[in-house]
Amino acid sequence: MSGSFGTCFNTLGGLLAQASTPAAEAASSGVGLQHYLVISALVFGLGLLIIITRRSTIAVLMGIELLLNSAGLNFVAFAKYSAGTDPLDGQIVTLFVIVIAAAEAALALAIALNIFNSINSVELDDAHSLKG
Amino acid sequence: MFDSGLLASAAENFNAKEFGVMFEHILYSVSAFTSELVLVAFVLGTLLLDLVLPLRVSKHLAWFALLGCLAASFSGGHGGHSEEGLFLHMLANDSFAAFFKQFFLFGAIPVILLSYVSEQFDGRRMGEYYGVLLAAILGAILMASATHFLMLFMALELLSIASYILVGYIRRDRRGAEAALKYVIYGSVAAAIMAYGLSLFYGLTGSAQLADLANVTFSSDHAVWSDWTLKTRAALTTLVALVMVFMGVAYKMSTLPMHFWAPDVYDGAPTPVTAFLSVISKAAGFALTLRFLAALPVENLAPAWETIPWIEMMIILSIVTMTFGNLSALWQTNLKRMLAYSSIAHAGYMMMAFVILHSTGVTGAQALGFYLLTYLAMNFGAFAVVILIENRLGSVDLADYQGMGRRAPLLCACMVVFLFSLIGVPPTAGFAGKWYLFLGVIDAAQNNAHGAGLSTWYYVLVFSAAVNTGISAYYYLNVAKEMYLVDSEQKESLAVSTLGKVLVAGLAALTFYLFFGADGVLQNTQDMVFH
Amino acid sequence: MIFHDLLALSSALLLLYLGTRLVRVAREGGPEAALELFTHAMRQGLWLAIIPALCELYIYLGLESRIGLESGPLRMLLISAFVMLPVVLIMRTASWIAFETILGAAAVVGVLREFMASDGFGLSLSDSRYLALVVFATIAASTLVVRGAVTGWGRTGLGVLAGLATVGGAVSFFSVTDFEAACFYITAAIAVGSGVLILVSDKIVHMAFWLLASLAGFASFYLLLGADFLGFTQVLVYIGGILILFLFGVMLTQRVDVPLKATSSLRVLIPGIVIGVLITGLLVFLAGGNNWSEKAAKDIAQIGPNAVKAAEPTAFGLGEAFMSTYILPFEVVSVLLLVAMVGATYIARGKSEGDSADGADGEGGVA
Repeated sequence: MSGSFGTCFNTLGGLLAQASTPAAEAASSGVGLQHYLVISALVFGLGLLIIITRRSTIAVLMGIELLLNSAGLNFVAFAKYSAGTDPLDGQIVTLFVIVIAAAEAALALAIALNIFNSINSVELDDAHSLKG
Repeated sequence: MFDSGLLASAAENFNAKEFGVMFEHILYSVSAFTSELVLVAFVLGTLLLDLVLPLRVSKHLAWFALLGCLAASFSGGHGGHSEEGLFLHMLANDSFAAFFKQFFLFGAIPVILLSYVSEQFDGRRMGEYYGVLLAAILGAILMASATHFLMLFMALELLSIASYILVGYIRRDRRGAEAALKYVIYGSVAAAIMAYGLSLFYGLTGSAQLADLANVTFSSDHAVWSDWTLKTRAALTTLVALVMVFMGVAYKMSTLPMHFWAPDVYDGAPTPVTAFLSVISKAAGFALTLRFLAALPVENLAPAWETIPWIEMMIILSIVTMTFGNLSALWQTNLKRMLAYSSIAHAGYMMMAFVILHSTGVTGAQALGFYLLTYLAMNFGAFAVVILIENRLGSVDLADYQGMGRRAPLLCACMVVFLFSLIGVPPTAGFAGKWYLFLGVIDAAQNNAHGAGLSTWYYVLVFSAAVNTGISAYYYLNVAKEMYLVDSEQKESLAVSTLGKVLVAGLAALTFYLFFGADGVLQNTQDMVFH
Repeated sequence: MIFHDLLALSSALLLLYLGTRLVRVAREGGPEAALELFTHAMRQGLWLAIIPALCELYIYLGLESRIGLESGPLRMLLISAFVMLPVVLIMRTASWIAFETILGAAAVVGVLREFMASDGFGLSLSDSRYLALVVFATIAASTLVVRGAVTGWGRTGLGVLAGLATVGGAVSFFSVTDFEAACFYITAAIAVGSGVLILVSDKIVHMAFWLLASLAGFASFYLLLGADFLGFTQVLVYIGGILILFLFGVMLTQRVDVPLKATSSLRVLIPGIVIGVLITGLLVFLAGGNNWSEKAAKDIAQIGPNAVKAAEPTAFGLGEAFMSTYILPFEVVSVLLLVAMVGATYIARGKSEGDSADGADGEGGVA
């Protein structure tokens, strides 16, 4: 898909801009495994920071979604690039992770809703009738 | 987008013979999977029956659920084992899995009975409760037998999601709702971190199978880095992945550093659910961790693993966990919180099994299996007494137990048995459980099972466990002291249902039996192996 | 080379300026005043200009090759600094924006230069430098407009300039030689940048919308990785399902557009943030600097057990796997979903419907 689009754009680009692109030959290296891993590590860290700094239940849940997504991206990227893996394995694991995340989010929101009905807030800090 | 040519080419690649072999294997797997299938049938049955039954009968679905556990237990189906495992390497078909399958099905029975006698659930529909409870048991069974990352994660999530529901089952109870919220939020974070760790292992080994964990590979033909940095980086990545996965299961085991939820959740959850969390959920976490650690290379030959001192890490964590649990339990005045910290301390003892995984004498799997059995008897027993007294007093404060020895003689006598067992005094099960653990570790230290340098570590571990046992005696005996040596104005005796009495007495009898019949029980777990 | 030297010079000047400013304030007002100036500058987001400037100097002086870090982690750190700059621009007042735009743009281009030199972007040198400037200038200009700092003719002028820049950017974009790399970096900026915006947004609805952008970024990553079915599932389930659920949660539990309460005390927050940043740094270091064993290039293009090409749908292979190798998870997840569904409906059931049947609701708990 991307290949054909790329060719199309490249042709267009060749018409619009001067065709002098010195790095054109060397560009074959492109994007690899590490690029995806770094992005997923960054997003994992962002999710972690959201979980640490936010006290709103829904915000923390968003952080959890980011963590799960970064794990999913790792699985798919490893499946494509890493030695010895079948590309479909990683994709299937990620598919199931998405499904499980959906189930978990629904349940967590139901619990937050329930607690809201009794104390009118979804802040974790407000849930302090238990010690600690 | 539709391309019929593509489908045709895919169909060409479809190999009928290969598919036949696979089909045979799946059929075989189903036949070895009958007890889980029975359990699923009872999950559905419980949920459906609840729709047609009137409210006052709903409580008695407990008996249906109990029947489900027994039926699943006897439908066995775990004869023989195949190298391929079940469902194409998704589940193991070994004696370790079989033991834990029976353990969880057996352990579900006291939970169901405790829920039945507890008056906390009075007046509400119980169909969802027992259905979800059975699903949680299914999750625990799968956790003990999963050998594929996906299956492992999914089983853990099944148990977690079911537990979140159980903790929040009393909806308008504010403390229960808060406990459920805490449990679900931190549990999801732990699971997500574990998923990330698993993804790192997937990349490191190129496989989602536990069996391949040892094959951490890195391409070494990189021009820039020297051998040293390559090794260090590989080891560091492996270590990070291991720690992340451990954090996910440590949440279930309630060991440090993921123990913080336990006191609040144990306190806020309905008491039968607390009992469930402290035994079944914990045991599932331990079974999974043991299987995971068993897949790590022993001989330290595999690259990247050789520099990771996971045995020393486990020893330190074990010591810290048991010490933290015991020291925190000393100051508790609420019995449920005390039992929560006590369960953290016991998780610390159980972690001793990890370091003797490959011993020649008492193996880690054996010692852990037996310890969990004794813990099942004594901890369910203690919770049964707490629930029966809570039914009458509506309180779990230690202060309300004063003079209870006269008001409920049978309950308190049994409670003393359970407390002694939790300390580890003979002739109770707790002693036998600790004995095998300590014996295993000392044995390993003498035989240098995991290399010569570790003996001192092992002795330090045994020594701290012994000191901790001494500390724990203080707060367990404090409960006995309150019951028998302190008088209170309340004199009238507590009315306890016959079923409650039978349950408590039965668990007390089991506590004694596991001491006297320990050898026989251990014989049965002797061939507990991983495949 | 001249451009390179100019960048290093401007970075050095920035650092020198700050240094002298600090020293002078310290001499006049004592160390407290200097500390105050420093914290003020840091709070205004100046550190985001300083970090790339330092990195630029670091690279210029050739320290990189002396230490031996020739690829990976450092560059990835620079990317993250680049991504965070616009965020600070959006956060801060207009007067600071101008200052930061001038200082930051030079530094950012310096960062990008490193990538281009190593062909990390897969773009030709001049185009990518231009592209980065355009993106950055557009963001800065639109921020100025949105903030209301520029009105009247200035606004029109900026609009014209932004339009010209966009056209120029488009031209430069179309001449990109490696389309996949361009897609990747744009997607990465969206996914990570929106993640940062979730972190810094102070309204929960905004957070939800930035989450949408971030998740959409992940969907496009999946597409780039050849996982088409997964990419669309991501859109359907996450954006169509989970995110709507979140928005409902927001609507049902909180008045929309009310800023969150103050976060917990700094004493707890700061160590948490430091630990979080350290963990992120470690993970990025390991991910970017590791020697992952990779497949041979010829295998990467192929996907699926039947060696279906990457550009072709994966749905057939996935369906086959669901019915064979992954049949057990496929069945178990149905139990999991059933339990979650039953539990969620049970717990969220409102007072009106369920409680008439549940007589003892409210008194059932620990007294």
